[in-house]
Amino acid sequence: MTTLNEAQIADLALSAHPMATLVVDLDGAVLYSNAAARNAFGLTQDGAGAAGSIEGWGLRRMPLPELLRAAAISSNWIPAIFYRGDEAVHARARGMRAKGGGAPLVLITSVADATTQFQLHAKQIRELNMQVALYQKKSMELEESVAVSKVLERELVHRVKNNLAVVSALLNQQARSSGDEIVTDALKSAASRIKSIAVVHDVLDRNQQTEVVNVADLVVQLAAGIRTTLCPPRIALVTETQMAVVHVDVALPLALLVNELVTSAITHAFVGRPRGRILVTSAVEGTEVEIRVADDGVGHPSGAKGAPREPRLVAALVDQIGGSIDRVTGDGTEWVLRFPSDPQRAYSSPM
Amino acid sequence: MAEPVADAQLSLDRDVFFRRLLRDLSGTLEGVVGIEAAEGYISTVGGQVGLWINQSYREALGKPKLDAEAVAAVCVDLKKRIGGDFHLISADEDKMVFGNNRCPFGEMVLGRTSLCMMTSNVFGRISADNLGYARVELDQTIAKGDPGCRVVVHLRPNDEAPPDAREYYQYPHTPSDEDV
Repeated sequence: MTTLNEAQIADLALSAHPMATLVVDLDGAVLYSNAAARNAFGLTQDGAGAAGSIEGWGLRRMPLPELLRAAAISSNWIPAIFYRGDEAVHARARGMRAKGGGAPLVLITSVADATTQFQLHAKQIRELNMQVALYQKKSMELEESVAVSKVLERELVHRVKNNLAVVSALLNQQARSSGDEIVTDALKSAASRIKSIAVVHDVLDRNQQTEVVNVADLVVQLAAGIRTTLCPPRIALVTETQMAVVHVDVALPLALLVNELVTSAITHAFVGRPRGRILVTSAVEGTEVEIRVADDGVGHPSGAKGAPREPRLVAALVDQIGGSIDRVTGDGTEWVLRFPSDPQRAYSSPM
Repeated sequence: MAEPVADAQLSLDRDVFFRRLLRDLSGTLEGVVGIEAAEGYISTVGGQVGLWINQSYREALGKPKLDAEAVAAVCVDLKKRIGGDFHLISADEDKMVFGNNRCPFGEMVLGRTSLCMMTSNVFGRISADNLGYARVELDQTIAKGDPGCRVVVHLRPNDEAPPDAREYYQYPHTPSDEDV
């Protein structure tokens, strides 16, 4: 480890000090200068360490040699502003005894100048203001861009809704003219599913939204669509809803789920019954949304082992929204669907 | 009939006017640029006045250079001529000690310590130019409220002196100075 004495430490500190410090003789020849001084006075250090002269610098109303001699004769600091063209160095100067008793030397150090500091701060404030203005301009451009993007998204939602409605109508029309019951049922089922997706876009479109859907609106609209296309008059399809907002990525599988459960009930629950009732409710329970589809019918078909069989697609759709589904049997069948209520939640693989 | 203005009783003459001017000028300097920078400006003036006084005494006494005894006498005399009351307390090869009971600036010096740089620089300049070196200590000053001044002029350099000691070095004469 290198050990430094006091003089070496002082030399190290001075050489890196931000205040310009230099020692000159009475002719202005530089005998010592730190980096700040060489920078301030524009001095170039040669290979031997000498840094030229400050001859090119002067005071406004006093020749440089006169100042150097006035400063050299005592240790009192004399304020001095050195000029060279447009450059200025605010400094002070004092004399130093020369080793060996020769002519005294002059120690010059820069001082903080209020005007320079003010000009520096004013420049920094101007630059900051320019940056703020630039950021504001960019922010406005981004806001305009987002606004345009929103309009385009809403337009897209509107067109998708219309296109899906057209596809659904075509399938229904095809179903009516197929002449084959199996084909008709398949086409109606497909039309109903497409219609349920169209309903999501319709709710978005009506509310001028692109990302979130009100579950209450969704359930009411779905029921209305099913009522007019699949539900016979003898079956009453009723809704009771509470407002709950979900992300569109949840709304799409949710619409298909409700469609599956209701159409399953219409298909299976009232076989041999003159009339029936299906109640679809939505509610918020803590951090979850709860959808119930209940009928007062005869029950649903069982699976191979006698367990109740879920309508097709249901399990996959429930997984997709991170929810759970339970079936309650009694006077009819009730499906209870629960899933997290988080309008920000989006899914990586939406339907 | 109002009293004629010329007969008004007030303390105003040329001497009072200039002392008042110096008091306000030094006060303005201290207030605007700070005590340290004000002392710097007044030191510059004091150094020039010291050169002038030293040259004047040399010419008047017909001596190219003054010895220590003459330097002490000049310091006392010059203060007497401008209204001060300095006296030599002691003197040896190493230092001269002066006392003072009255400041040339009178009561105008109270609170204006930067004006003491005139004494420091004039004594220091005369001593350094004739004896080679001077270090001036203002132990007591009327300006800062002491009853009198006590000024010590050291004549030998001391490497142990504090960095802010007020030292005076011999004026570096150039050939052009001899022409003046």
